[in-house]
Amino acid sequence: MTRRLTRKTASKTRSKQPLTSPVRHWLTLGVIGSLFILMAGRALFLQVFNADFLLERGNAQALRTIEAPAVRGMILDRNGQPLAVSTPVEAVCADPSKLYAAPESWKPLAKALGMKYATLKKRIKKNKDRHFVYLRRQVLPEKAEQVMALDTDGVFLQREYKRYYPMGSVTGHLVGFTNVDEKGLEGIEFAFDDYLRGHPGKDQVVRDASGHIIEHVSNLKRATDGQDLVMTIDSRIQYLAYRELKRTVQKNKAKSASAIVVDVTNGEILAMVNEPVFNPNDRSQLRSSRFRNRSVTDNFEPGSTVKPLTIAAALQNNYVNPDTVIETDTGRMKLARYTIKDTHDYGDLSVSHVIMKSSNVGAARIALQMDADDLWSLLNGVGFGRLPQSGLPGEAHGSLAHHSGWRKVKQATIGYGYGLSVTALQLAQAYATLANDGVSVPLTIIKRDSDVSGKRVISAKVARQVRGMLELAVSDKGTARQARIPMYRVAGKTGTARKTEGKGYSTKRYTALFAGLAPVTRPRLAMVVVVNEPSEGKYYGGQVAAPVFANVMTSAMRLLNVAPDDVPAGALWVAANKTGADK
Amino acid sequence: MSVQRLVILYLLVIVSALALVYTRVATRHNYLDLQAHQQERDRLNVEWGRLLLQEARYAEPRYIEKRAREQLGMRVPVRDEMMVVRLQ
Repeated sequence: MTRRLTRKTASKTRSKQPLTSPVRHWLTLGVIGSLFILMAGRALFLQVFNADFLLERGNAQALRTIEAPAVRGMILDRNGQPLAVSTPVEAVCADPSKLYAAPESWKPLAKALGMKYATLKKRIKKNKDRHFVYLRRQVLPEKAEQVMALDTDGVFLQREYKRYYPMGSVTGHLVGFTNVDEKGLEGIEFAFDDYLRGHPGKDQVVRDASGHIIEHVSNLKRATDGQDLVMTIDSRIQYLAYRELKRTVQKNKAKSASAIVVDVTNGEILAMVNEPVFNPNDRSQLRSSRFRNRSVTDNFEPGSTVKPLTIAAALQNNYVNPDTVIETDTGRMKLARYTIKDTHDYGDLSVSHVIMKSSNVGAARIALQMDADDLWSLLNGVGFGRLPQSGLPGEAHGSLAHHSGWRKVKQATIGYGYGLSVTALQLAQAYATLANDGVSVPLTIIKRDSDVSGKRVISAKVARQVRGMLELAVSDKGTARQARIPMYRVAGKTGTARKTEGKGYSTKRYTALFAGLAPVTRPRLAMVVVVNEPSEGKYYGGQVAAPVFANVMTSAMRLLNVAPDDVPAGALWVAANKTGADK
Repeated sequence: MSVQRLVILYLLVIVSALALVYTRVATRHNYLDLQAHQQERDRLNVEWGRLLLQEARYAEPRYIEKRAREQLGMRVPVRDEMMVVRLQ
């Protein structure tokens, strides 16, 4: 090499001849030129003849279809208070095949995720041949940031939503809950899942090698968010009912309980609570015995609370009038093999006093005066034996046998509330009908766009007469003194129903009931309270259930701004109208 | 085809090639903008959700009742303390 170089320099100094020969010149040019042609040919081949195939391969590597998340709609109460809200959180996901290759990153990752190192290790090892695994779901955004700050290869986030229930256990049974993928499982979340659910869209994007989106190619499917749903619940009254029912259940050591408040003018359910409760925000509490909405699913024999309906049927069909005298003998009445008993010997009672004293014998005698058809039609008309169709899932229709199969005993026992079963919601509907001057408006838990027209099942006159009798029941001489509230006239009926046990009725286990309405002058609310198996000595509906009615109604009347109709003279201040005073 | 025409076509090809490059760059820029805005939207959504829950917590009857009773010493008036004012 060195020798050749020296020879070249030597020749340069010797002559002015060109360095290269013409042959060499053309040869070099020819080689370079042919290389260019080869390259142009290759380019032509790639760009023109093979373009489609290559484009496809390229896209397959970089083009990805990703899901565009959609939000589930909120559930609101009648005043716009949120009862269920979806807030964005992150799912921390990983490509375990990548993560497996870098064991040194596991420890800090486990720490940032708040997971046990062993758990994380196990999960990565188990899925090492896969390309996707959830490391942790429903992670708060700030925490997810911390995880991403570690910049671990193969770890990425996926947007998801977590459902929060601000009222917690207060609305637990009504609103229900969803699973981790936001599919409704119980309550309104379940019944209106299609309406609430968001539909995720699909986007086509180009990703670079590290997984970042660098180009948005096209929108394959638009994401549509779910719609918000407005319930008829008033969360203030709901809370009151919740608090009072809880107090009663604890005080009387009851097994379970339900309470419902209905606006009688439009059939809207303002409150519905059950005991025992569960907190939908805490998944460890989700046990089916707790999240059943007993108000609509559980049947019971309504006992004395049916008597006003029996009497309404008798008045409606002119079998009796409010002053007709019914002989209750000695408080005992023999019928076939059975004996119907009263707690006291009331002697002769007017129809009104049958309600006031809650005489079984009296109600049975009145029931027996009627054609079975007349009694059945009224009970069926107010909703017994039929689904209320309020919008809540799992409604039971109770049982009310058709009158064609009734025998005398059956007719008499139905007259005072045995031999048929209803749910708390059906009983509330019946009393709402009495309160609404005999017009039955279908109940609803979802706010309607416009009021629906009801169906008349009791004449206005009879409804008013029965309300008058129900007001006697809360008087000093009646069974429901504890249902009274200041400033308002209330009406209602207690019930203390024995529970069935084997073939007969228990002497120890009772259902304590109260169904009532207020204010009497122009009824606005109806309320039903059912306390199942109180076991602290007291078990009468008047002692256990009526106070719940009174405490809830006192505040509910004020909250709804209902004008008082029972103002003692000393507490009334008649003020001159402001515009009048100016004159 | 005249040379003049060829030159014009050639220039047009160059212009359209440059325009293509330009729009590609612009697209990327705009897409980055869009992503930034989407992130901002998500952040605001997160915050809104949090505020909504916070508001719900403060508006919860149980919470209000507790504050009213314990901090302000309030209670529900009894029958004798109530007065009805009727306008005429």
